Amino acid sequence: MESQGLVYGTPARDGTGAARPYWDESVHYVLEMDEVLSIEADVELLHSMCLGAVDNVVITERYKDFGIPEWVWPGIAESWRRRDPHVYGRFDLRYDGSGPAKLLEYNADTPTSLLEAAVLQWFWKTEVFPDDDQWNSIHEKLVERFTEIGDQLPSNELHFTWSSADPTGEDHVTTAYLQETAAESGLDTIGLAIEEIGWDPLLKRFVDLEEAPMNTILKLYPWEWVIDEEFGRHAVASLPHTMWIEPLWKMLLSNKALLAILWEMHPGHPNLLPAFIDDPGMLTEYVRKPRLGREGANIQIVAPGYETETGGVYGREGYVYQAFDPLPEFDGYRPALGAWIVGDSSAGLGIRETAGLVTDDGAAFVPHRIPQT
Amino acid sequence: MTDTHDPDKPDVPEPDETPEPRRGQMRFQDAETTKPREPTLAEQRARRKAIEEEAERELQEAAERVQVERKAKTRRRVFIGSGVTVGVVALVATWYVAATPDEVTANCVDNNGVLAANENVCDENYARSVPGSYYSGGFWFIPLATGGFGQYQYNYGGTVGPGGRVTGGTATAPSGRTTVKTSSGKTVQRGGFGISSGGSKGGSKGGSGGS
Repeated sequence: MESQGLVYGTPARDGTGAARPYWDESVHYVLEMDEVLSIEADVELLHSMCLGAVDNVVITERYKDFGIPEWVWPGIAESWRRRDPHVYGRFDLRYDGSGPAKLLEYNADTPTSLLEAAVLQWFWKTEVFPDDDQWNSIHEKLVERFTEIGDQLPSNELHFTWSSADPTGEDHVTTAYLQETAAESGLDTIGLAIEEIGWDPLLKRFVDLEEAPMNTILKLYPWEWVIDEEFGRHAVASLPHTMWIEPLWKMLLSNKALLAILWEMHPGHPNLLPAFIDDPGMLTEYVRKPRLGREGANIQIVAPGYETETGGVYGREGYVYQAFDPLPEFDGYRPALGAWIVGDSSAGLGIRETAGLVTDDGAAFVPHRIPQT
Repeated sequence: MTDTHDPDKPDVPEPDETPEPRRGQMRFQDAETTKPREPTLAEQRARRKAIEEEAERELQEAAERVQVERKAKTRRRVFIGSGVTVGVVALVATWYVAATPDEVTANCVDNNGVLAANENVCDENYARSVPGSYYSGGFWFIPLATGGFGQYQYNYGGTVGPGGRVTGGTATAPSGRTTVKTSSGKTVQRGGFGISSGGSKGGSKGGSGGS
């Protein structure tokens, strides 16, 4: 697996806390084609509901519910009105094989586990179950998507950037993979760490290490961190002269307040769980999630017999409360489905399993297949 | 093919196999090996123009300051009944009258005119980032490990002599058509994103990706 780029694989944990390989192919999931088709349809529906939510938030200027600083608001609205191009995202779903898939959260800005879903599990399937199928066209769709948006970009050259402070290498590998799909679509790509990005104060533009201007920047670095940092205001002001991917308007989707907005707009929708901002409302059993939390950090579950709380550094920006619907359990592990959307179409699936109720950085990636009927 | 070109035949590409789709480049840059490329002509012009505009803006601001100060002074002077003299305009003028060289080296010196061990202490971005630092009277005051403050400012155009003592030059930043170079030669700011090594921002983290 390392030969395919999986260098990071932080060891996962099993129920007793013992180490478990991050890439665990000793087990896999089998999904029926009709299940896949139905989840695929749900994902595209969720995606369009999310775009509707962005439109709603921009029109009603409800940025405060998202804890977004006021100076960024106009930038978000303009980015949305221009329809700055988006590339990809990952919906995390609860699915137990019977009822409809439920949206747990949407990683719209900096989704990871991309290489595992797009490449590694495909190689596994091809080797172990060559006749079976897999819900996976992520790679092809990424190439297609870069071809599509190529015309909307300021130039044919894209800079790909990640934080060199990530010691695991996961961000760098994921970025390099994206770079490869863009190159395959015919775009010229340059990779450099986000710490190396330069700002030319006279010409008011971002430059790379060759001091050449950066026209399009694909960042594997969350917007809420970008705007909080020294060059943050330059980044927002540089739009649309410099195009940023994912676009600024995705700040409204990568924020858990989205869950409450969706529920407000579509109460009782079968793919949603009730969710509220700042207050559990009428919920008696709920999960408290920080608006901007990552990797399952700072999650608190309030439900008889399930009380759990994870540690972390998030939550200063406030919380969102979502009805508690425990992940189903199979052989002691609980899977969460990561359904990928590329452009506006559903592209594939990656499953991550945990022993506990929260899919955190101790989750293991488990491949899946669709048996030939 | 060009030699045997038939002028009567229209220049139509041969209907051969569909062209191989073009694959884009993949390049990587890192701070150790990547060197700035030569600026394009347009960039050099734009940079010069930006510098000029900056200078013009500064000049205008200085002129406005003069106006304001003059007003303040006239108002005060009305009481003491003295005439109006303008000092600042003269100062502004010296920036332009004096034959400024095209390039001026900025040396970071302390209040004794001796080169600072760390030239960054004169750099506003760096100085601001030092806890407890402040700017006063043209100097950056940087807390010293031994207690107290060191006072630092850039000296423009001075000559470095024995013992790192800088003679000549001025503490007033030159304007106009002058390029200012520090000894490390930086004109582009970096490090405004992400976690710089040794920084404390954000605490420990394992990956900036999604959950």
